Amino acid sequence: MFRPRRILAWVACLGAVVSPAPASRPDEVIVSVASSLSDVMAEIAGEYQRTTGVTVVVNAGGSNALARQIVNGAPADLFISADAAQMDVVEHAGLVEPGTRRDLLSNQLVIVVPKGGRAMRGPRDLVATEIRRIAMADPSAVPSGVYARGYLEQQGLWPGVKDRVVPTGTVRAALQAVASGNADAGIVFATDARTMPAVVVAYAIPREQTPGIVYPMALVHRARLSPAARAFHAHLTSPAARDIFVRAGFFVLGDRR
Amino acid sequence: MSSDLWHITAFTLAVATLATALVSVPAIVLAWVLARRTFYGKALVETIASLPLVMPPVATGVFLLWTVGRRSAIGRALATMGVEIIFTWKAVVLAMAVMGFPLLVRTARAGFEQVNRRYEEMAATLGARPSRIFLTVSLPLASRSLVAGALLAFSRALGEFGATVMVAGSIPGKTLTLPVAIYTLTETGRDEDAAMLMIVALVIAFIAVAASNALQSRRTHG
Repeated sequence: MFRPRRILAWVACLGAVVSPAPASRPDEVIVSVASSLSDVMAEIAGEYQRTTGVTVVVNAGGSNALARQIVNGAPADLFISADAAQMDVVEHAGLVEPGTRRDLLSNQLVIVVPKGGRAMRGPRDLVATEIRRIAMADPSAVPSGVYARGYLEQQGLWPGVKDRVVPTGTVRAALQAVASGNADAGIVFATDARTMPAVVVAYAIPREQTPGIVYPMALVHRARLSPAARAFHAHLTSPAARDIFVRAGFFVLGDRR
Repeated sequence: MSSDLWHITAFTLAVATLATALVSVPAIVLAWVLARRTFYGKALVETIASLPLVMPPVATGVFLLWTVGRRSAIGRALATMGVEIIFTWKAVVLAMAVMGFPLLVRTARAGFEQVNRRYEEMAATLGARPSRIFLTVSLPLASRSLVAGALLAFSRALGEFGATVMVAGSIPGKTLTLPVAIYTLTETGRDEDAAMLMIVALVIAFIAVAASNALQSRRTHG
């Protein structure tokens, strides 16, 4: 069937992709968020669109990959990273809108095993011989993997675990590797584990034993920052958004920086 | 270039060679069968043999993950024998082999079809059995196409990305291949290392193209 409007929409998309400085539409906000936020942001975006009519496009991925996308000019209005290091990458590139960076959330690491897999009493069981593959986000760059490595190093377990690590591009890919049974265990955020019925939390890593987990958010500095982006940035610290974050298992931080 | 990058290069060349070697016999036999025989369901076999060429590599990877993953029947059977595939170098070989297979089949088939049937028929009238005709007449006459096909399959294997990341992941020192390394190095901000591997890929590509051109010019002059 011939649908001129649809064709126009596609042409507009093409234009948005090809044009050098993509100006976002006034009723659309593009947010790049750490993959651990994919479900919760989709929920917040849906709610927000229902109440305000503003479309929030959620681009979820590994924070490191998102940071590099933004530095290379990807169209994003708002960035939420799962660690400070990746937000620093964007900030050092001069792409953080002054005064908009704040630590929004925190999280907790958990050790997960496939449902029906082997029980685990503690992190020391990770070095048991039966555990041949441990999935985690790339410990050299992807936030949850960097945190996991920091924890394991502090516990003196990293040398024993290192050679069994299956590094993934996002925390969700690590979760999936455990859910499919192709990894014997994995380290992911507690909020990730809750989204996946096929995995069981074998051990919740005490928060005080991990490096401080923070999710900084900031508006991305652009030539014309849309009011819609500012409004959505403010909305994320509202009680409504806070409720959704808390229900998903995140710790909401209040401090501003 | 650091030892890591050398290791990645050597590993990739080794697994791509192994994958090409593994598929060569079945692919060449299938190519001959498709070129010389008619049978019920031939079109279906042809289609299936071409699928990895046409499907998105990631989709092929997901299919392999479901077929040989630990939860699958095959995966479980292999596990009882102590064989594991997913997230090991074997998965890299598997992905490369599956992706290279159709290229070898197609090129070899075209080669067999160019062999004059009369030579094969003469051998038959002289009393040679089909297997002997295949080995002493068809195979030598089609050899250049077979080598060209193997080279294509090898090149495809070297560049394999989509299926590899699905079934083998990107474990440094274990399953990390050159194209996947270029991707992860770029993603993690190690642009210089990624550039080094790009140069390595370029050099290998030059050698592969030169080799295939040499084969082709021999074909036209000889």
